[in-house]
Amino acid sequence: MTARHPWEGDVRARLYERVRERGYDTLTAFAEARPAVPLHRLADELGEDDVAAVQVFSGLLAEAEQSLRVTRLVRDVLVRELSDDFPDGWPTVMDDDARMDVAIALGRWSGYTPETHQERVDRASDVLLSNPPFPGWRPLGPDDELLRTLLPDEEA
Amino acid sequence: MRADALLLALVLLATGCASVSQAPGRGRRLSYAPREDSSPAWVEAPNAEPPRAWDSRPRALSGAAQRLLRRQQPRDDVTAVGDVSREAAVGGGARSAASTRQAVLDATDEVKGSLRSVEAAVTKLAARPPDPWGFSLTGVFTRYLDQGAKQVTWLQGALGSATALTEAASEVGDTDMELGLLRMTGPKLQAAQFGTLLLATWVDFLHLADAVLRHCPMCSAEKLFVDLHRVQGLMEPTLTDLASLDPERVEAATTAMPELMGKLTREFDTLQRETRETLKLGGQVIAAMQAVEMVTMISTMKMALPRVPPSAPAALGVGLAMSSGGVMVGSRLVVSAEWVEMMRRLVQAGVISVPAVSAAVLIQGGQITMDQAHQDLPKGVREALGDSPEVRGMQVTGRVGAGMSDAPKHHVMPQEHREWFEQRGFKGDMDIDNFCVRMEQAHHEAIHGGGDWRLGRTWPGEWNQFLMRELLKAETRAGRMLTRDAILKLVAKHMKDYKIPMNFVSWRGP
Repeated sequence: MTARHPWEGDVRARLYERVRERGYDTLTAFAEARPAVPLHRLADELGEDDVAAVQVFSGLLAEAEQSLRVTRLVRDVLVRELSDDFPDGWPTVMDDDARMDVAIALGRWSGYTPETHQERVDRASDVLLSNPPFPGWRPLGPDDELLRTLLPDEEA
Repeated sequence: MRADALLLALVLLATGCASVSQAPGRGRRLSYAPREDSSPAWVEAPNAEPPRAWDSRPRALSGAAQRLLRRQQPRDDVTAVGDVSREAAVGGGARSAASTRQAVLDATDEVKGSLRSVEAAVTKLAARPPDPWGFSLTGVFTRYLDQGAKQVTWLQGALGSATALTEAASEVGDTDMELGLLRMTGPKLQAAQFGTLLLATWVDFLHLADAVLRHCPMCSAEKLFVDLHRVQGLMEPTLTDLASLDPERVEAATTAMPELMGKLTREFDTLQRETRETLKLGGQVIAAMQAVEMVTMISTMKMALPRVPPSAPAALGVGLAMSSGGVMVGSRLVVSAEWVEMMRRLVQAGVISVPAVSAAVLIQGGQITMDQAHQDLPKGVREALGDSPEVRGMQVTGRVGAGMSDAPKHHVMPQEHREWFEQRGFKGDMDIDNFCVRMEQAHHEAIHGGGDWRLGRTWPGEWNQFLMRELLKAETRAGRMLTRDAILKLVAKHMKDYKIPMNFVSWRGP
């Protein structure tokens, strides 16, 4: 189905139709095959005209809620956001501009965090700023060691 | 007196000639602006330079501009017309944004230059001492000079806004947002461009009136006063629409400009012809006649004057053709290739509409009409100016198409947080009211918590709440107030994630 617009038609049906066309059963499997790729690029791949990043995230969250892997998704979101903003990794010099960019990335992370995880993300953000990772740090997926220390799985 | 008049005619001839040649060292100046170098240097003092022979070369092809033209010929991106428009349409390509920004800067500079010339002309006219018989454009005619000064104020305001937005665009650091901001300059730039053209035309009438008052004692000052009043009345509605800076009113006024210029040209021609006849009746010296004639030489309308438009609708655009040097009418260059290139970029990025650029080319080519229905340019010229199916498609959702869309407008940055945004620099040209988008009601409801697209239970994904959380958390993490650019960068990401195109419209206006 082609709506030619992300806010028309049956979003859920469209998402899963596109995912299956690409050989996956779930959005999670589709996304995991594309680690550290920003959400908006995942959306573009599924439908340049009619799939939006917030819809992809919402689908990923529904699947994570089902499989009790929400914390892992929360880490994954930060990985994808950082790769969009800092393709060369964590800034070497933390000047005013870099600090502002990190703040934007962390603000985005909070925006994409479900209510259940807001406080944990707040704490993790504080730690990232007070004990910054080494320059050039570039997590490649939700299993990144530093990230797992910051935000360990709880659900399992 | 005879000697004086002859001297004046000679000086006028010299300045008239000077107006068609390119001043040195102005390589970057594009050659469209009709008044840029042809500043009506209505000087009384004898010119030190001897009168030059008629230099009939088109201005655009002389000197520095010609070198610029040669340099620009093998542009690597000229071949990729389709790609550029696609890039602009989907918002990618920092290079596309940079070249669009340059085109906006060039176009703004060009209008600023023209406006400066017109302003200088008004000042000179106002400062001219009365001739020995006491005739000049003062007394009851002062109001007509004031009319010019009044227009300069809003024109400068519009250009100031365009410049402020271009500066904001250069700092935002997000390609889509940069193009979005540059598109916001469109109506201001367009209004200033055509407003300046009208003002220059008005100055032509003032020059003619001045010449009539000084050289035609038999002509009736009362009739002249009434004639100018009528001309002013013709211009007034269009100037009011342009000065509103409302995108739709500006667009409508712009596309009606060739027709208006047709009417004004007729008025000018009539006034000049009547003056000539009166002079003839009075057996006036040939020099006085020439003084009146010379007004034409420096006129904004000189392209159209030799052939007054027919009263019956004519097929227009017939004589216009695209060449490597620019748009030609026969062997005469109407606008230069650089100007065409600049406009192509503006059209493809959605800053300026195809009809607006077409109107400018028609006016420059003297293809003015009494009938709006016949204003299309030949296909080749339109394509060179950036018209293409892709651009038309884009403009349906873009600024220009906004007029055709009835979809309601919505604030991108939530109105209930207006004060928060104001404190962070969203004031004046950057007021949050200027950052609205048109959206179908159903789509709008979907992003504000309606519809059933949300699959996860624990994340509402509602536009305002989500955006404000991102902004407030970012500010907390930054440890200081977010800058305007940082907010725009974040808003750009937010819009991208909802796939809302960055085609901003103002909350005010229809």
